[in-house]
Amino acid sequence: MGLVAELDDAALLRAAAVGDAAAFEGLYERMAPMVLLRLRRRCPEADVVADVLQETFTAVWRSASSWDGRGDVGAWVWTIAARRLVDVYRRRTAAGSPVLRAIETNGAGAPAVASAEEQVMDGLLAGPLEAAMRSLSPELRGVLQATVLDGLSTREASVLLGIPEGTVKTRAMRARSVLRQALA
Amino acid sequence: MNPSEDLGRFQTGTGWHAAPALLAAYAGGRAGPVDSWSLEMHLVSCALCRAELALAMRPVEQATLDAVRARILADTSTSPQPVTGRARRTPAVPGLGAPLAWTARARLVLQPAALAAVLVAVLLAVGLDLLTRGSGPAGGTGGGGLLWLLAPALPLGGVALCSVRDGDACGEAILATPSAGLRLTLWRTLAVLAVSVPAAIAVGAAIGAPQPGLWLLPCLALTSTALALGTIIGLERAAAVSGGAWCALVLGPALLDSGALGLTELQGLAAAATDAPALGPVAQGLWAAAAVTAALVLVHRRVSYEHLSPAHLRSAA
Repeated sequence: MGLVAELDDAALLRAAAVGDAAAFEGLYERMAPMVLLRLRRRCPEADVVADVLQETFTAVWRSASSWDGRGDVGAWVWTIAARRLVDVYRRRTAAGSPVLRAIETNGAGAPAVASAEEQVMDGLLAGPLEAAMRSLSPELRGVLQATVLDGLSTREASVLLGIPEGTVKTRAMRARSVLRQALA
Repeated sequence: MNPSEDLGRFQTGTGWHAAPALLAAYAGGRAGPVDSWSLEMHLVSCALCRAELALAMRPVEQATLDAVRARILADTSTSPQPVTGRARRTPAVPGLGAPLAWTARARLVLQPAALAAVLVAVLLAVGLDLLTRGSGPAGGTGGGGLLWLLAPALPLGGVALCSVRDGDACGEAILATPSAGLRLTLWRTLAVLAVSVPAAIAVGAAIGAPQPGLWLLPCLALTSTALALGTIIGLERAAAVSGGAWCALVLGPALLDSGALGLTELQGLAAAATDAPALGPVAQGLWAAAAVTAALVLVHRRVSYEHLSPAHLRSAA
């Protein structure tokens, strides 16, 4: 893959669009770790994450030619993954949202497996913004993550988090005002 | 794919790159919300940090990546581009860029099942019409009355099949392209109308139905209502509801009058078709208003066509 390593993301995607399997593999090498870890933070079920990852890159391969060339390839790939994840939750009618549970555990701090050295390093990353964010309830944080960071619509966020659209809007507003106060 | 760490670290992009400690914390699932968020935003556009992240991943995640890669490669080697269902069975032709070809697009829009459903609906209406032909109470003034009455609802049989379902050949296109879902559904609906309306007009002319101009507006109103209602209850059910409502409107009064809906009643309906209130001048205004309202609702709620139809679960795919 000597040639593949020299191409940028957009060139790889364009090559994949005309059926270049090596370019597609190169794209997977570059993007899949990011997509996997980002999905993992949003969904606690490992098999769902693996399925969504697979569906995402199958979609990237099949519809590579529909990329409009604007923005980052990474953003485009993540958008596909995020919408695929929403679709998985859309199919579920079960009460309670595993996504929210994932956010709760992520906010709870380091799991027991972290070594002493890792804990020290993690401690250095903490700051006033981190403290402000931790003061947000998991519900408010989940809404901010889905709407602001992942760029989902109110409707998509409501599916992912398992709450009504109106609640998404009010929680987003409350989260902003809490953050504003905490950082003032 | 090892990044040239010493050279690239502070030179590319915005100049900012994630510290190894942050990448390690994120890869280990220990990073806090703010750090995770800022890193995630950065990773989208920074190939260098993505490569660093790949090196910092836990063995478990690495194993997942490898397993998924194997599944994808097995999948893509048997189902190469382009997007269409038929093409999945044919080998890929590298360099053709086939997804953009008009034949591939036509296959996404023209659905044999939907078009067949419409033609069957037209044939059924004609059959019913011929059955009730002849000696009606009013003297049997020409045929085609019943076909004329049912014509507005005929396209709905095909419209019901126009939604983009999970496992649909172009599901991926919906995921990747904004507003592709609504556009594709509208094109499919247009294709259905382009087949059913001329077919109904031609057959009507052949068997001597009243002039077709009067049922075009109700037809448009019913179709757009089905599309608008489809944003709430799904297109299949919405088409059935609109079609049922039209039949109730046209056939209902006769049923209420005589308590039964036999051949005689149908003959009476056919003979008096041109007097049907549902197609009268007052109703035409209402149909126009309904069509406009439905179009507005459809535009307002268009997002729901961007998701695959939830009626078809993963097991069907």
